[in-house]
Amino acid sequence: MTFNMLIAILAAAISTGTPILFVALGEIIAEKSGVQNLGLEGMMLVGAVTGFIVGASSLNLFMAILAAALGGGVLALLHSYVTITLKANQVVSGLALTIFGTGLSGYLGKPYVGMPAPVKFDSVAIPFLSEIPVVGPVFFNHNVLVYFSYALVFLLWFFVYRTNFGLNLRATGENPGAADSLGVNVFALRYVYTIFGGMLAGVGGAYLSLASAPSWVENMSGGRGWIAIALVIFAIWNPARAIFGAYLFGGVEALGYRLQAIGVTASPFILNMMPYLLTIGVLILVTISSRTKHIGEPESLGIPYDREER
Amino acid sequence: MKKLLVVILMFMMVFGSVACQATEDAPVVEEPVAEEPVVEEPVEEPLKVAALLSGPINDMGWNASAYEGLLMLEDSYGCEISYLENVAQSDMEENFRNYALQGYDVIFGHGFQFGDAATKVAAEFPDTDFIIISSDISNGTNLGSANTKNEDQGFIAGALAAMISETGMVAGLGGMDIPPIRSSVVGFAAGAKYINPDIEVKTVLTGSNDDVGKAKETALALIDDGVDVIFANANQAGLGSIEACQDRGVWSIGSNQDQNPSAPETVVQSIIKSTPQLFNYVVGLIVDGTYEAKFHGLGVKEGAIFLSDWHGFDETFPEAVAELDEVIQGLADGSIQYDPSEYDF
Repeated sequence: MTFNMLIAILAAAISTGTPILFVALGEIIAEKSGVQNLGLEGMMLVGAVTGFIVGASSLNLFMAILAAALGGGVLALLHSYVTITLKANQVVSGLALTIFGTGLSGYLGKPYVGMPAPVKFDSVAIPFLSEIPVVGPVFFNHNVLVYFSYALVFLLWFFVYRTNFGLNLRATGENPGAADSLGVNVFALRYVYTIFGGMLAGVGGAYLSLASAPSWVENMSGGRGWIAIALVIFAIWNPARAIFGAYLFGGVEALGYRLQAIGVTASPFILNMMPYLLTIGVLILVTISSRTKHIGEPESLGIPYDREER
Repeated sequence: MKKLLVVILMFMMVFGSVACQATEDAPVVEEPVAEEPVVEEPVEEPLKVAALLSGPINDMGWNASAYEGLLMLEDSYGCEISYLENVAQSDMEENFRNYALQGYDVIFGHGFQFGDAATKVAAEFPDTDFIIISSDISNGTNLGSANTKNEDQGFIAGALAAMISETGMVAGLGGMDIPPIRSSVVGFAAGAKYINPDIEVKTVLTGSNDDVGKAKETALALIDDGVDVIFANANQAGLGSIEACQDRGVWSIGSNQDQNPSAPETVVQSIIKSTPQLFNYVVGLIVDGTYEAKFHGLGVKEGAIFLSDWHGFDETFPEAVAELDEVIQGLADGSIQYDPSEYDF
């Protein structure tokens, strides 16, 4: 394995890790507020298709990303209504939304299948930074969305752990009853953060259809929504750890491509299993090593908040 | 009350996706007009042909190709055609039987998965011909099958790739590990080695026909490794490979349909396989009376595999074009023989 190849793998790890990073970041925020959203795969697909359609018709990438976020957000709004207001089972609603989003995106995208995207995010090398050996080509020769994700990780980490809003967010997910008694509007917060999560899932989808492979193909997310859910657990609900997890998952995938390219026959089935295997490994490790058995999962995750049951 | 609302919403979400498609693609059976018992008259009664499909006819892919095939039959032989969309595994037998009872002469099952049901029903209706597309099943009496010679498709692509490669490294990139794709990629290796025994051929299956990103990353990895021609056969995900080639300025060879419009500067040629031609060819044999209930493998000779337009690349590679014609000739008249199993990976 040559040095150049290593650089190429590391750079590819970032570009393949970024879409799942977006989705996982959104899901971390939603789950921190206590709402689990298994509809990510569907929201990614809807984001991918709306982003592509708006990009193709407006030729404006900013509008395209906005539309993608909106697409994912609308689906998440539906999830919020069903699970927060109506207090339905979050797993059932999430799964239903994945199926719904898959069908809807296929339907909306039918006329666009096989058409190359007229506008796309190209790689932009950052002056000076991209000339640093190793670090430059690995981190600073990507498209704008990747740079945006760097900033987003820091912003979200800061938001969650260093601001009052973040404190309220965490309280809502840990003990909504206590938060409510302190005047935190649990319902409103859960709505906002769930929708925010859906919007990021939409952006993650648009990354696929406008940046990594600018085109629309039915089902193009290829299970990345599920990998993102695994990544949330892998990162133990911490945005800062999510970035490492995303690049690790991306790296495993990128390594798989290279291995196949140099003729090492790695079954695609084995490679597809890797992210989940890693997640299970981390779960086992973390659970064993933490004495409290509380590994960082928000205490009220998945439980609808009902004032009368407080 | 709230619970009811929840239930209704759930239903809407789940069935919404189905409904979106169903509105346009409601299963349609073109009921044949009830026949009146006409007096025996050997005057040309149109051949009645039916097909069972696993999906809707406007899927722009597999099932659309069946519909196109049926339209060809209507055109070339004046057949009376009918089809049934979205046939589930559990309903196959029933629907084969229905068509047979309605007096259809030829009933197609569009996909190998129809084979088992057809085998059963064929035994009950000895006067009806059952033909399974993309399978190699047969019973010698009234059940036959037809498929394109996918390895020939790959062979032609491989030969062309070997002719235009400068680095001496070419790659065949497939999607899902299913027989039509694997055999086409295997054929690619055979074709490339046929032209240049010293060439290095890489063969990769990404495992997905939808994951464009995966196809693209794999193609980029291949290109980084020195490959300068990639033949992609991964349905829609193949676009990813075509894009990677365009980004890096190396040649692409498309498959199944003319893929040049996706990247006009780098897609040199697309090796097309025509599924509709399977219908046309087999029914042609039936009309001529030379049909046998066996497996029919259709290649260049039968017009099931052919080249797309060169889109001007015939001026870039005039020698390759001439040489490729010889290869195609050789495949058609049988003078080129190869053993695909030698190149399997």
